[in-house]
Amino acid sequence: MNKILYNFSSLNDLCKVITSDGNVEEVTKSGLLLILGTLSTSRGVIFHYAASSSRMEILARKGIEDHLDLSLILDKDDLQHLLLAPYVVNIHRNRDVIEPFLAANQNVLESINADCLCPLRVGGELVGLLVIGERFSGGEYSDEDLQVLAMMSQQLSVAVYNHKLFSRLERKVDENRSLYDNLRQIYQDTIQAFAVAIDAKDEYTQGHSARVAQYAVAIGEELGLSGDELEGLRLAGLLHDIGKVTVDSSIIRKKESLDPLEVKQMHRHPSVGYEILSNIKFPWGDLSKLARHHHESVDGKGYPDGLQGEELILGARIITLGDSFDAMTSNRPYRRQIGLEETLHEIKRCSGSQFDPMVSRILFRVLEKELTGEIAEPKILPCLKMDYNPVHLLHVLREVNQPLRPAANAVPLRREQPGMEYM
Amino acid sequence: MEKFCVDVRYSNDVVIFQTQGYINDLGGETIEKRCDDILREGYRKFIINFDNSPIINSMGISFLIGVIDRINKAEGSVYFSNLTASNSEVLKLMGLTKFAPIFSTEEDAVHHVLGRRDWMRREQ
Repeated sequence: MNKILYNFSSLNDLCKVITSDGNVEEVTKSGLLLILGTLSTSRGVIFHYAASSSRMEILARKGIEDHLDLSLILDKDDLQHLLLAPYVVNIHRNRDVIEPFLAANQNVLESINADCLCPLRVGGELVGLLVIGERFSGGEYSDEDLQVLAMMSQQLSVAVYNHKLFSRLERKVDENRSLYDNLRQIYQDTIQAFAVAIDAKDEYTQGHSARVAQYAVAIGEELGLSGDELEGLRLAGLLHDIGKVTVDSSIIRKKESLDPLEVKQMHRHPSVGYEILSNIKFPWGDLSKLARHHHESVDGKGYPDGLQGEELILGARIITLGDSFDAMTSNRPYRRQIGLEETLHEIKRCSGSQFDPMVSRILFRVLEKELTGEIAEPKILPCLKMDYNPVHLLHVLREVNQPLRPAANAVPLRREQPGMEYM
Repeated sequence: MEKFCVDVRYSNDVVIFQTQGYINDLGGETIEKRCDDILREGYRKFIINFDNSPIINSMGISFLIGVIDRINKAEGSVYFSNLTASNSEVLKLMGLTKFAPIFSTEEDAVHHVLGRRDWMRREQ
């Protein structure tokens, strides 16, 4: 009577183990221990069937040295025999049903001291094999033992089948991740190539888009934006001038002042950029708006839409400042670069009218941190093609970074914490 | 759940394990590892006192079989003591008492082991 109770208790424990939320290795290991403990044997192995290699590989073992590399081979006939075999094949009583398989794997099965084999099947599919060693106390397994083993092996089949499904799923996830990474890389390389093509219209603006992207990301990082938001800013920086592809090169390269028609054509590039980019669904947000609004001013005097204050999304205000910062610190066909000190004073002067004062302050803070080494990998200073005295520049930065007074119609400071909406 | 632990004591050349807590896969594995370590030190006589382990499940039993197997292979001996009546009966049913005799108390087991050693000395 006690033996029956013990067997029931073990079956109940096995049910709990198989339906637990442990990983497959833990579940199969615990399942094996339960079966060995129930049948009083010291050795056992659970194999899972790998159809691709026609082999049985170890999933869990007990009582077999870890260094032993055990795997079983099977051909099509063996597979058929194992599919049709009873739940428990006792090597001494009914070995004939899978004789060729036993012969082909004799050495491995002997090293396990195999006495019973249980093909693990789910829905007519072979998923693995449970091999049980001889009884620890000697003698043969009783009919009752074999019945319990049959029940337990059927339950175990589910766990091994789950392992198979999980492995397939993991493989698919890995494949998809790899595919996604490749696509992402191709995507980024393509955008990079676009940016180079945009800037190539004029030798003076070579590298402009890449620098704007760097500046925007540096500001975004200081603002605590997320990885995707930073990626969006980087791509917006690279593509913000894409509308210039339709502007005549002679206008872009012109050293003299532009006539009204030329100004009109030039001022169309943000809208054209918007038209181009709005047809593309970017995974990092709507970059088209950032391209459209990178010549707007927070006081509403910019173009094309004359938006002001809160109407302008944060990402656009960041790109606007990055764009202007690079324009001022680079040579242009129509003027030489201005010094860094003058640039900083100009940004301060225009904060509240052209630029968002909060974004300006963040730029100043990034520059200060880059100069003091607080930012280990500076993004802005290495892009500057000019000499500067770091000590003097720090002094200037502290001067310009005094509280900036927003103009009466300036954009109010938006949330300056991670997770803000920037597009 | 209370954490399983094994207290190890020595009486001459006899190693006494005092287990505390549920003997399941974790508890069983702990006993097996401690047994491996002590076998490597050269000890061969073991007594496992289960006074503070009233529950043993089949995963725990599979590890106890592993412990007995290891000690047997090292030509040692192992004895169980202070088992509950039901655990004692299960171990008997599993045929393990042939390899690990059961004693009511740890003292009985120690006397048995030391007595057997004295008897063996006399024989020599």
